[in-house]
Amino acid sequence: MVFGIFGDVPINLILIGLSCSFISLISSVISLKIIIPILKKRGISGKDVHKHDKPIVAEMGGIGLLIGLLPGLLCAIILLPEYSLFLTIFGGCIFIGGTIGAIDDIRPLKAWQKPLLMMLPALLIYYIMYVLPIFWPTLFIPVVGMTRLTIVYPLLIPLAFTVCGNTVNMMDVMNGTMSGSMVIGLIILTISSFILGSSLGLIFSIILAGGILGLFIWNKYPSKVFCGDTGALAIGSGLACIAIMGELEVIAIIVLLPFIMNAFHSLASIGGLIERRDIKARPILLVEEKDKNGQNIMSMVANPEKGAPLTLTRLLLAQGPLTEKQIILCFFILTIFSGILALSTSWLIVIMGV
Amino acid sequence: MKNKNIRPSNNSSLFNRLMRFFGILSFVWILMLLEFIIIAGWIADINDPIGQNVLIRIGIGIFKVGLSGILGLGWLYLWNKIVKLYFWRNITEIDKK
Repeated sequence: MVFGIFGDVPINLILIGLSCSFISLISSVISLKIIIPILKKRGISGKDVHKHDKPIVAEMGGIGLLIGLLPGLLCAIILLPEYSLFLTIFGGCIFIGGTIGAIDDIRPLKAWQKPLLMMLPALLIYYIMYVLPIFWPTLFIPVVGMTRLTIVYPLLIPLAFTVCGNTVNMMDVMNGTMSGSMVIGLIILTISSFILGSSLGLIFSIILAGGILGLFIWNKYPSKVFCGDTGALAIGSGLACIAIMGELEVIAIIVLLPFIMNAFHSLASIGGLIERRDIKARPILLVEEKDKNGQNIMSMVANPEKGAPLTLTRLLLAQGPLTEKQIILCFFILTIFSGILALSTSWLIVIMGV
Repeated sequence: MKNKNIRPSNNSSLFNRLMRFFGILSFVWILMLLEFIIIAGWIADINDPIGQNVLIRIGIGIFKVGLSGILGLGWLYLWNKIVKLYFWRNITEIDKK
């Protein structure tokens, strides 16, 4: 079936992708069920500060995602031998990102170290570009078409990993905001890959979506586990890989507009990369209120201080207080909306031919 | 999923609040596509009038990338301005109330 501008997506690829995604989902759920008590027992846990009773929640849930992704990726490598090398590179990038995240979770890295280390997965892309060489990325821009940025584009690859990793990480602010939004985003990227005929984009997105859905089941409100930097940086690396190898750069940017909005305005307002722990003025303030039944509930208000980071949560609270549940819902709705914009762009590309 | 116990302080519903964000995101998206049209229609068409000199061709290439970069930065600047305007206007309104 020739449909997209990059070629055709065989039906068997979609079916295998769906099966591997399901395997990743199940293994993520099972691995987290086993890991969560172990993490708590070892003291790898933190307080959920947005709740009234401040429950202790296990951290580094990303480990479960990494374990969960392994069987799905292995199945895909066996069933799709023509994509095995690309799938290995994709898996490698995720695991490098996850390892950097795990190091940061155990022993917090400095604000400049994390972005620098996040450039490492780019080495795997360089390996298939320059050593083998079996892959050459081209930047596809809607309306413009394929661009010939033979010098600039390879230089931007490490930056793409750093930006994706940190953008995803900065979105992990409340129960399930990052994992849930990423599941939505990856489903949109899967559909876009199908529309545009990007086989690599489709297989990567669908497998990663399955794994993250498994993580989301445990991370959703009220969280049993936090993703930690392990999860966020692994997902960020995977996302960069999808954008670069799937030639979905602009579509990925549009899907992630709320993520970019969150990261870009935060950084612009505080004037650069500052570690979360080092920011003095918090973007939001917690208010304890009583509901109709007299029970204590927490709501959030925007910090009116000028120096506080302009995060997406703070922007959402500009018109008044919201509960955590409401904010999470807003994050999901905004990702769905940007997903609609991304799908519209994909259709526009197909209709216009560029 | 919506918790009805806490009402937004200026009585605007969650949907109304999100509508403004849809507006910002749509504006940013349309502006992005417009920039692509400008790049494809005008900037990409800039060519060496003589057509022979390599140095001039390299210079034009750098000029094209630079101009596209400036357009991109302008897009980010405008996005930041709109968001800041939205945020501080709302905060001031709440403060007045």
